[in-house]
Amino acid sequence: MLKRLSALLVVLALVAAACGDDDAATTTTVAGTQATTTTAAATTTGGGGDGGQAGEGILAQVQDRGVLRCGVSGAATAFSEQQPDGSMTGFDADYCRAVAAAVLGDANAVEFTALTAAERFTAVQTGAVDVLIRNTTWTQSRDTDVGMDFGPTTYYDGQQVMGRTSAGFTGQSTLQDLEGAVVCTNAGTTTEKNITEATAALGVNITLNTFEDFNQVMDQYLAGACDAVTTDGSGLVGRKATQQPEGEEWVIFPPSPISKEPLGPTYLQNDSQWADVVNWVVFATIIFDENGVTSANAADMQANPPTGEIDRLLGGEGNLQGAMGLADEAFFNVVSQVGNYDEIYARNLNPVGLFREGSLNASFVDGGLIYAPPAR
Amino acid sequence: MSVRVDRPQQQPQRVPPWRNVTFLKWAAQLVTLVGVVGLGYILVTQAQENLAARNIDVSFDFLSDPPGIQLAEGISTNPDTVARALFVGIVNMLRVTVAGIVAATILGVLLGVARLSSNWIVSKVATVYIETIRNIPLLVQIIFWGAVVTIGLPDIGFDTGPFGCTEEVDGCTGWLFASNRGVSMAWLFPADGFWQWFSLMLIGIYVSVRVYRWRIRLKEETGAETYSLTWGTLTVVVFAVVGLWIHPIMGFFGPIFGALASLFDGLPRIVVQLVLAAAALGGAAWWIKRFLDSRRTPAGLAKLTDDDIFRIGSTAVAGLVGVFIVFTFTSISSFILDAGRDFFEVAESKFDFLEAGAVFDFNKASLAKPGNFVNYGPTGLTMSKLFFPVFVGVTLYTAAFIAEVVRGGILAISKGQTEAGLALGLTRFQLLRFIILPQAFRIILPPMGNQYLNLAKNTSLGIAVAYPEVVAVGQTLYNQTGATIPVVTLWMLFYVSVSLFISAIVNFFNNRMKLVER
Amino acid sequence: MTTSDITPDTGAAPPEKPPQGPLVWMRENLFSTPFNSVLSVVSIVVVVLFLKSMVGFIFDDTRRWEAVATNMRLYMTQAYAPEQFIRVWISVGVIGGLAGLSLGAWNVGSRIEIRTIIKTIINIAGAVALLAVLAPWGTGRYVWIAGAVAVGGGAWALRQALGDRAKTITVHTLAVAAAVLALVLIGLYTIPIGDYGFAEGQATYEQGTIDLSTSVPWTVISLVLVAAYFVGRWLTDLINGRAVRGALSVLWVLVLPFNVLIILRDPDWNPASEAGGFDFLTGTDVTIALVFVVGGGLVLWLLGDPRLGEAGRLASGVLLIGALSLWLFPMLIRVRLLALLFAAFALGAQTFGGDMRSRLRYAGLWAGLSLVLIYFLAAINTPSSLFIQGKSFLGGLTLTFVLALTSIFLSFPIGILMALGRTSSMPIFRVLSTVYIELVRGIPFITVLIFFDLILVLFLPEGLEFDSVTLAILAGTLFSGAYLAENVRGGLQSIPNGQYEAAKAMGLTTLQTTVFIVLPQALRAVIPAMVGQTIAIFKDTSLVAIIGLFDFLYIANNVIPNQTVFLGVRFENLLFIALIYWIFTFSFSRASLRIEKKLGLGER
Repeated sequence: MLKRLSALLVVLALVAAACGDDDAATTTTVAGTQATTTTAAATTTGGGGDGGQAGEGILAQVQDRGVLRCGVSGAATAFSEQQPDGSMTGFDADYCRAVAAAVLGDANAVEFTALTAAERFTAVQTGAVDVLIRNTTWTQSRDTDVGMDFGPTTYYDGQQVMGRTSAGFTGQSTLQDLEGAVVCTNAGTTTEKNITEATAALGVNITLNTFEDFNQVMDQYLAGACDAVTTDGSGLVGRKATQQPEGEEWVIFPPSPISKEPLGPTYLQNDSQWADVVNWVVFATIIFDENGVTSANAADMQANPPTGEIDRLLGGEGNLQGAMGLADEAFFNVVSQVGNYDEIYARNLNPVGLFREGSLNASFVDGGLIYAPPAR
Repeated sequence: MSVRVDRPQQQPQRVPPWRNVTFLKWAAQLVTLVGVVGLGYILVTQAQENLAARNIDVSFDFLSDPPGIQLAEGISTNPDTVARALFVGIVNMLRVTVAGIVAATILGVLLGVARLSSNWIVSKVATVYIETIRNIPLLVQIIFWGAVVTIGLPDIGFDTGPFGCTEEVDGCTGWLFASNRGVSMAWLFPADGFWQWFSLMLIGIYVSVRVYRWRIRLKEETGAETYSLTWGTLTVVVFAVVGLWIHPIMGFFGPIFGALASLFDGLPRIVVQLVLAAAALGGAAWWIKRFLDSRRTPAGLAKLTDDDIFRIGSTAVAGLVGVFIVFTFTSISSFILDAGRDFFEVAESKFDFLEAGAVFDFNKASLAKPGNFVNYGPTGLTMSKLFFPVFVGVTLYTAAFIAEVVRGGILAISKGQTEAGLALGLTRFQLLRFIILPQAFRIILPPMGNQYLNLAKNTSLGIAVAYPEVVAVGQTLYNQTGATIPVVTLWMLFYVSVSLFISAIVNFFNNRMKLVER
Repeated sequence: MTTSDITPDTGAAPPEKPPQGPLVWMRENLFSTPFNSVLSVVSIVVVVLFLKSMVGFIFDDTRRWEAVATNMRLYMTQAYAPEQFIRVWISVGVIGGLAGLSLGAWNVGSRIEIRTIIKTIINIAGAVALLAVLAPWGTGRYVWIAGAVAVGGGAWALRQALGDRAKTITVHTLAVAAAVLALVLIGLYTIPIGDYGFAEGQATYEQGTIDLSTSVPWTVISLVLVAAYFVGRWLTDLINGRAVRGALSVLWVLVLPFNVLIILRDPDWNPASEAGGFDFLTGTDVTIALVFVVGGGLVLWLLGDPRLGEAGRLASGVLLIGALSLWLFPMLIRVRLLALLFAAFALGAQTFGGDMRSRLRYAGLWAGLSLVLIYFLAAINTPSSLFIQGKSFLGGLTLTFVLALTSIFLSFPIGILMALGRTSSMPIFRVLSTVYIELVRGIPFITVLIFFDLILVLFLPEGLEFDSVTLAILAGTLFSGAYLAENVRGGLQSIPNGQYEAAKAMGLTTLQTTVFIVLPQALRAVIPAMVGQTIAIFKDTSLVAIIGLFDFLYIANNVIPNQTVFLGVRFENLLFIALIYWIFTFSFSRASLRIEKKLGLGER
């Protein structure tokens, strides 16, 4: 019995060790991952963990580790979707890649962690993710309370309502027109509260049905069980573009959203070096867009920079990136591997019917809010 | 049979403690107890530290705050306090539980009988149904029903049927509306006089049981047919009908409850503490006395073994710990006083109707158009589209299990009984009514109770389709207020009480059945 | 339903009936009485209408079943690194090999009459024909109907040709299974299902058969399974069968942690890797292993000496106190846990020791157990070299299985301990276990999950954190532990008192009676109930979707309907996972029925 058992164990150990060696050789660039410490913390010493935050900034940690841990949703259409092949795509996911390209020179050195709305802030506070880019609204209480800082807004969203023209709604309808309606929405931290507060302030009576997931909301709406649905405008536009049936006309109103939802990256409080890196990755994509630097012409632009600003950002004169703790080529990597703001936007949001023209997300030159401080 | 080990034999000299089985057992138990309590203490102190650091409030004060949420359905959709919101959730949960139990029982019994049917297609259909439904997770089923259940029903409008409005105007009434918004129907709602009438009914039920037993006794003595069941039923009906007019005679409860309320209001806390402490000590003393009585032999008190002494000692200590708790945690006593006062104040207000008012309000369902949209009015009993996925899901799921329970119960009755019954000239109906069902009922009752319990617990999956039952409401509330610990505590208290209640009912019937067995 | 429908049936096989035509059969089984005739007609109409709408729904043009086909990898493993996918195949292959070995070692299967097989084929052909008639397939249906009629007719003709020999010719069930497997494998290479892929943000479809990256691994796994069967047969002939079966049982216990922690998670043992890795020479785990496995085994061997008597007992008491006091010093938690486990073993040394053989066996048991534990703990604490694009290396159906199996496995000790506590004569143990069991059984699983997901973290010291998969496993373990305890209690109560008395008369201690006499019988008696509990927990794992774990249900209900390509596609996904859940639970419950019958259990 004993002999058999121990022989067995030795064999198992050998097989396992062999497996480990083989694959470690092929994937040496990739480090251990938070995502895979399924039960690790349960058995390590208290306080041990695998962060080693003491005294070391997040930037240095990421560079040591060789991979960026980025918190996303994984189930948010066009912002972070898990695709059939397991990859993570979307507007938020691309910004994760942009940060990785800047810090590590490789846009694919990102480890995505899919987080629910409830667990996302804890993940930032405990260092489980280096940066959270999960359509998170920047609010005063979140900024002050929970030990996090917010980066520049990458997408200006706002809550709106969608209804049928057959029910008398037009694009110019107001919340007053919802009197007596059954309004459906998804359980979120803010959407539910916004519509309740907004209608209560106007004295409008509605019946609010709250569902766990927005797909359930749309199923109810399609079946005619809801008179109107409400969520962030970006979600409504996408659904209208893809799910509006023949012979029905849906409209989105009111023209000015009932809430402001600026979405952007979130990171741990009081690490200004890391904050600068994330912020300037976002700003760089915006400046590249303003100056027409794209992933296609980035190499040409680097060779023949049109302006001094572009030259500095692409790693020419000034050593501005070096002062941030990044490689000189950091932002060149961003634009060549991921693209500028317009490219990221068009790639992910145009397919679901969201366009920049005329929206808050147009460049400030075109009357939008997308604006970056100068690079000098 | 439990694992019992006889007490060690009496030995001339005491054994050393490490060889004394009794001592070792008690030492192990005490160490474990200390370990459990100590672990609890460490966790709680740690939690206090963490909660203070994160600025989380664990008190139940938030119960009286405004909740800031709307509920999609229930006895009030705009609750004014958190407590009220949770109460609405509880009522919604009980609604779907009761409806589900009734529907699942009917469907389950039908299916169970159908599966044993001699008709090939009927029995195959029942088998396929059972094997399909019970092998798919309930949550998947509920989510699926949530996606399909309102498809096929018409849009809501003033022409909504099937027993809809006579005139299609705002505020029109009808008997039953069904649309993709759910179902609204005419219903009897408790009115002002309900509780007075209800207490009268309790007396009526008691009297009816006495009448029933008297008729049975008469039958046993005389052998004549005494129609005991008819007599019992008639008694209840008489009380119910007459009670509609004479229920004000129960109004005397009002002042009694009022007096109790003011008693609780005026009572100093120390009195409650003393009563509780006396109860703890008295309970311990009563147990010890009973224990000693059981050790008393005709020859006097038997010599107490070590084990006995440990038992008596730990009971006494438990009593003392109870006293300690009562005097240390004064909030327990305050809570009892406050809760008692509130309870009796509410009770007093329910017994304040000295004129024969309505016991029930009968309301037809209505359709209203408050703004630009037609919707169900507030008058009827409305079960919204959110109710149905949960209802359909738990009903179909539980019915499959009940069918198996019923089938097992019927199969357990041996075939000889059927043959003997037929040989005696009983009809098929008489056979089922007097031979098979009474015996099968006894076998299926305990597992049936378990299925009811499961159904009650499974309604909590309504959270996945936004049915506002207590778990879903609680989740929305703690998302708004951050009060996770109080909400989860309330859930657990609620579900444990529901479970205990259902098992108490099942046990009651189970015991009755056993008596019949003789 | 009337009383005439009830035919209490004891389940015994009916006596052989003379052959009868379909008309006679119909008259007897469908139209025996007027009431029955009405019932049959109504049922048939309802069934046909239901099937028609169901089939119409499933094959409707607007259904997007490619959402399921394209996302198959997501369904099975969520975000498992594509370049490492071979690990998934290896882990399935390990299970396949083990299954084959076990089939051989236990010599599973029996012979069935060939007419049963023919009947099954005719039934399947009939079902396909019915489906084709009802489905909205246009003219394409005639091909199916013709095919089904041809196959069914062929089978019928064969049955006629065989005549009475159809009852005497028998086939081994495993041969039938192998034939079906072979057919499926051939189908993989020949049937033009097409290949559903994903590239550049678009779902792609290619005509042809399933991609080789899917069909080749399944072929290899099937071959491994078949080969392992013969190896198993050969091994049982070569060595004694009991030893092989015992070793296989141990392997079955180890296969889950081995697959998950070693193969799928791929701990990065390489000391040179940047992640830090694991240093074999100076690593703490080797030291721990030496101390506990070798030293511990030696101590247990010494303690098992019956001549030690009192001194041995006192020594193990001291060991227990020492193990407990380790919690007062800063130390690796796994050392503390191992020390506690060792102290528990030491307490039993006197009971299970005795002659040289039992002492060696006890020490060997400890050495094996602690070695396995240390190995897996070391694996857990070694960073993984995987590159995961999701929450965890476990996701989809894999996560569902790992949650269910781990929970049920870990809940066994809890269930047994709690059942013993509840039936114990010791009042404090009884009260504690009763409170635990009744409390947990009184509340819904979702509240337990939410408690662990949101609240447990508030009770833990800073730095001690569990990720959500571990928390879900903990919740599932404690939850099913309470239900298992009730099952085991039923078994304990079925042990007649005479057994206890006999054991006592033999001079066995309480511990020995429990371990050697009571538990084996009690556990055997409640196998059906425990299988039922396993199925229940498998279904219950779907609740983790509510707290946002990427399990099978979450992917169907939340992830895929949010992909731009398949926005809002839900029915198809829900029907698909319902089917998969059904296949697993149904076959598991069927298998358990068979085991039940074989063991002669569960008879009323």
